[in-house]
Amino acid sequence: MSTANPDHGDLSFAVPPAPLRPVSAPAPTPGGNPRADSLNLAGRPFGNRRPVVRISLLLWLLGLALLLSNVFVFRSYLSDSADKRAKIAHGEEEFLRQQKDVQDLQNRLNGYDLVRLNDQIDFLNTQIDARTFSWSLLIDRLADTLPHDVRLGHLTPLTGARAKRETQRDRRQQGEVELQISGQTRRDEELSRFVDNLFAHPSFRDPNLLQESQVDTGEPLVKFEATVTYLPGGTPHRVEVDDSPAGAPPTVKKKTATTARTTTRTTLTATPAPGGRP
Amino acid sequence: MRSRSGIWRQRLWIWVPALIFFLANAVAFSVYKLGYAGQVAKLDDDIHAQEARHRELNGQYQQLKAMIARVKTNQEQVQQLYADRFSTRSRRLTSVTQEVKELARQAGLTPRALSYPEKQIQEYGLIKRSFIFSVQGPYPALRKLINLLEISHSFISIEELSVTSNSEGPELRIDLTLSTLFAMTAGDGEAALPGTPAARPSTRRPTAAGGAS
Repeated sequence: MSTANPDHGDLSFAVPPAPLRPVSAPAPTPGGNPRADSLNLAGRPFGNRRPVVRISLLLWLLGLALLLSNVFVFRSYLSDSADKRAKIAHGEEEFLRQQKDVQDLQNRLNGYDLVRLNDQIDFLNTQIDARTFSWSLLIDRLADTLPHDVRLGHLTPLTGARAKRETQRDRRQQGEVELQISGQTRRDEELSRFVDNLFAHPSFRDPNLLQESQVDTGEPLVKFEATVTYLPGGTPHRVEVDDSPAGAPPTVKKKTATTARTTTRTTLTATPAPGGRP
Repeated sequence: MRSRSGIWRQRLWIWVPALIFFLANAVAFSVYKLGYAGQVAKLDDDIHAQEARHRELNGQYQQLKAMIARVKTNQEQVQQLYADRFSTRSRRLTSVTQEVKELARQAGLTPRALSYPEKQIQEYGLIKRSFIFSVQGPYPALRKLINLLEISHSFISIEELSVTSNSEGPELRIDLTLSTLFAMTAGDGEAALPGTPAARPSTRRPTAAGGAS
């Protein structure tokens, strides 16, 4: 390309206009181009497939875990439920068998006349109580409580048929015996002392003076009747008798030793009737 | 670059089977939990309830068994008591009478008059024979007699004791009531050893309420 130089007087040639060059795009505006995506002109446009793959993998893994769990649970369900149903069926059989056994035993028990047997045992126990009742011990203990001027004339323990049945049964459980006492004294205050002594003695309870009456015998004499609850137990004084010459009254020695009781005490136990007999 | 939703749409074959697989298993798990697991729990409950009934029934069984054993033991003891201790009237009548007299004699007391009232206790197949007598003697003799009666092998009970003092001397008047029991025999109008259902059948039976009439 040449140019005319006016200073040299040369002809000047017209300069053809330069072809249009592509103009670089203007700098992107700060807000970005909203059409950028649509302008992706790549032959194979890029797509980020990784989240899809990862989520899919996770779903497969979770599904597999659930499948394994389901298989395991279902198998255990099948075996467990079969076992349990068999166990229940076996238990029902066992239950019926046991129920039959109980019914048999009940029938056997009904075959006994329990009410009569219990009555009989109660009666026999009162007889045994009467037989094993220690009069020696009772007399020793009463002697401890007797003041000098009080004499006992009559002593009756309410054992056996004499005692009211229910009362006796209740008391027998506690080992208590009701005593009826009658006696006499010349001084009224001695009678009061006797009752006080009964109150103080650990083997007696609830002494009750039922009646007292003056007897006209020329000298003062008071006859009385009383009841007291006696608690048997412990050991009586042993009574030993020396061999005395014929005709002479035997001498009695008191010793604090156990009286040899050869009677075997058989205490029968009342069988409660089904349903709770008193 | 493609939009995100486009990727998911284009790659359906990747994630849809996984999702279906997962959902199917989740549904199966839910069905088990909601349906079958409840059945298993119910079976467990049934088993527990059955075990409780078993325990209750077993307790009842043991109780009845123990009761029957006690009834048998009591019957045996009653029979033993009737046979060994009471015995029959024909076997013991003279010996027990002699024994009472002998014990009084050993104590230094002599009963001058004895009476022997008897009472039949039909209900229990027994005869109660009493020995009522009075003796006179000192207090030590009375104590000795009581002691001898207590240590006697025979089934002799002291029923009543009455002491009257004699103002003139140390001697006491003692009124004694003793008693013994005999087992009834067929000759007495009763089975020898009552107490067994076979020996004396009865129409009385314990009811469920078990109340004694």
